[in-house]
Amino acid sequence: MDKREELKDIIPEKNYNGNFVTRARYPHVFEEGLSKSVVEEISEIKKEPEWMKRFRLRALEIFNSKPIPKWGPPLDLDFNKIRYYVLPDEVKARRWEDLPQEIRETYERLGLPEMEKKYLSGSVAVLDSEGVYANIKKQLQEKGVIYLDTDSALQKYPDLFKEYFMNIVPVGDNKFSALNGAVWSGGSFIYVPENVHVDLPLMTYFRMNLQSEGQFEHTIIIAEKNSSVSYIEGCTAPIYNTSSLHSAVVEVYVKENAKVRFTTVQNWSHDIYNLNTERARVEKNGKMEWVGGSLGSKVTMLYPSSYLVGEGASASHLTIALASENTWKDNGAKVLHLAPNTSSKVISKSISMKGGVSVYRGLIRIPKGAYNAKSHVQCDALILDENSKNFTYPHNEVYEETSTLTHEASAGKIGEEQLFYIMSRGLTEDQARSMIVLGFLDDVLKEIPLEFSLELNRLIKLQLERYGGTG
Amino acid sequence: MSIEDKIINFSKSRKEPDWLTEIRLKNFRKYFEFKKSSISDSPVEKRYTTFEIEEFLDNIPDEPHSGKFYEEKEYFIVDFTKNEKLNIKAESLKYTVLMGIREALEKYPEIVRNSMEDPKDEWTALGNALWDTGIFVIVPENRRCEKLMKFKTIFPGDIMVKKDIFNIGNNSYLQFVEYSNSMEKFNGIEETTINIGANSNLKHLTMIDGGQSKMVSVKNSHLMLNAYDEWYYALKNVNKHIMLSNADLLGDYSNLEYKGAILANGNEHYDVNTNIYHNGKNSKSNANVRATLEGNSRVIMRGSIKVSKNANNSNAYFAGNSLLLSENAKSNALPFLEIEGDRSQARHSASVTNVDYDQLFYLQSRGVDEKKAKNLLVEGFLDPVVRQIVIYEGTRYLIYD
Repeated sequence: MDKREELKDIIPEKNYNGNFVTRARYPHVFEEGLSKSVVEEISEIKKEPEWMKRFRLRALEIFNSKPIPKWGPPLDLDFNKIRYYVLPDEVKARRWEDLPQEIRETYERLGLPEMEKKYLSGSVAVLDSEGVYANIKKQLQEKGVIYLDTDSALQKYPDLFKEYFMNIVPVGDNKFSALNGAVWSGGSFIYVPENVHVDLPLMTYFRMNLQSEGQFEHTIIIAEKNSSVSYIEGCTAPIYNTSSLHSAVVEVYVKENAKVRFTTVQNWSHDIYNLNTERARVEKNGKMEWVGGSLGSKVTMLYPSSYLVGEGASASHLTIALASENTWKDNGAKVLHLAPNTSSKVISKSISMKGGVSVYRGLIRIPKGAYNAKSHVQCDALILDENSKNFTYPHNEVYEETSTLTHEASAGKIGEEQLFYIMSRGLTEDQARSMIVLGFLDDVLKEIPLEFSLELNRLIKLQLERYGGTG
Repeated sequence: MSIEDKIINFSKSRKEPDWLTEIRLKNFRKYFEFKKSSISDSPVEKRYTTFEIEEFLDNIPDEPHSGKFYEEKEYFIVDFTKNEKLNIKAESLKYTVLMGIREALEKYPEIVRNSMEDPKDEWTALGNALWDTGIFVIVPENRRCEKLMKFKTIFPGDIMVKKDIFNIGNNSYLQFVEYSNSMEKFNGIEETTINIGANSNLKHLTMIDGGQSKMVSVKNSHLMLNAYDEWYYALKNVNKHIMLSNADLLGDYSNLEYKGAILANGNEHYDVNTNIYHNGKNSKSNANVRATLEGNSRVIMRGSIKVSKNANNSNAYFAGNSLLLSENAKSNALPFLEIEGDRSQARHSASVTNVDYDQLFYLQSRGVDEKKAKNLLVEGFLDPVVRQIVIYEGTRYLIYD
């Protein structure tokens, strides 16, 4: 059987609708609001070491002292209307069977256990504030690969954790990284030792379940010399009427000759502010790939960045952003070429429909001394109706003579001629439209692992169907 | 004395009507409003170019600027270094009106006023608030270009704010060339408003040789139905230059073509911004800026294309290309797009490159020495944007070395 056909059976259609609520036990649900005592209590519940508690309090001070960014999308966010810690159940399962039934059912509906069985090296499930499940294949565990939720990593590997925690993303980097430093909880921690290749991807599934909730996961990925790993994130939440906040920090450390691929498929419901800080440090000949499919959420501000610090390091950023009704997608990429012979490629594809706003906002900087650095940026936008908007704000800074930077962008409608051509071959207008849209996204879709590109494909078709065209 | 009082004094000492004083103050307040942030801002952008407004205002002279206007061969020369009462009057023109802007204030107050009503950016607002002198041209309706007008402006060695207005009636055609030379300590703003009537054509060339001065140049064009604006410019030798061109494609089928060349050298700093607003249906724009950078120079190339919802079938293209010729040169490219609605096409591209060593090797293998080969490549790089200037003015203005 064709692999695509096979996958269709495993992932039932209903998976793509994350709109249901888990009836979990909830021993700890914080009241709305943020204060010193909230931060102290989080630290106490987690039984954290003293340094972490002090770190959280310092981060809270930095958070309070920083202003909300004046640029970018409108952020009418009330930080006192958010629950900063929600513990669904005191459970850290290693097998799906050990999870309480309600939580297990949630993940079964989302299709995670089947996926793990078929084509993942391991998975972590984060529900609300805490990781509830973590598992990794035995042979990888024997080779020394660590894959845990971040809180457990702090307890089990405190030295390793302390070395990499809030290192490439300093706590004072921006207001939201400081917030994450103060109230972080959950996330995944990956350590791949030297010369180990994790051939199948690792996957973490983030789910927010309550209303007015904040999820502040902290993900750390460390790939030692000559290793490789591919990591996938999936995100969903049920629909409420009040705003929730998801503010994550992702730190990726790519050592010499290592390769990391970070894939996000984000399908938050339309009441979530998604304000993340994602950054990678890439050393000599290392390779970092960011792949993102951003479909849901109310406001997204996400600019994954790559600091190319070693000679010959490279980064590629591929993003798909789909902005529909009442959503503002502020996506972008940031690459700093801090060493000679580094290269980067940014491809951003955005679609605006039903009055949505999509923005590309990026920065490429090639400082003096980055000999022969090469960079290419391409941002394409498709606008599907007259009320939608697309803005493109690239910043390209070059201070090195021997480097090359090229940039191209286009924004526009579906070509009448393309439409006519396809329709003249016997397809309806709706079919032709969705064909053109998927073709437009193809450059990025083909880079995503098959099973996820299939999921993305379906999600996009679903959005288009709602819009009027059929998939 | 507050800054606003300074402007009132400035206006009083020049015996200006009340409405003008008021509109100057309104523009000045707008200048500070524009300084505030907008959605296109990013934290990195703020520090690119600075302008010392306080120092600028403190040194504005109390007396109106003096200068001398005379015709020499085909040139209209405005020399602001001469200490005479400026009286702009061209005898060789039959029906094209050419006068000083202060004179126009009495004869055509409406046109001057309209040009100051709605500034689109901070520099236009500041220019409107502080202009002191300038030229005023009216081409009446249904007139072909009577002659190629060539202006030569020599800027003084102090602070001056100039406002030029070109008003072209319907079904007309105008061609002009503008040279600006300036003294070393010149620090000024020059704002040009160009209104192009329906079915009219404008072709103009601007060449600025800055004499290491500091300058803000602003050009605001308004294009009506089926109007065509063709503009070629070349900048060199300016210590710090903020160059802004706003084009408002108001009419359906309006069309523009902007080609700019920047020859940066030494410690020069250029901040070139091209803003194109598409409002008319079937409007078209094509802009290309090319810069060569030597020494410690820096070029910031901004371009922004804004397409409104009504601009059906409009087509926009902006390209910014930089060629780095020395190890200390810096180039920033910020090509923005803001598109509303699904009826238009907009594209932009930007590149920052160095001299291609394969090409250099090829030329050298054919017996051309290295310096000459490099010059040839630079010439080739600039050719698409400077060809028109070369046709009009020979290579006199552009010296490639």
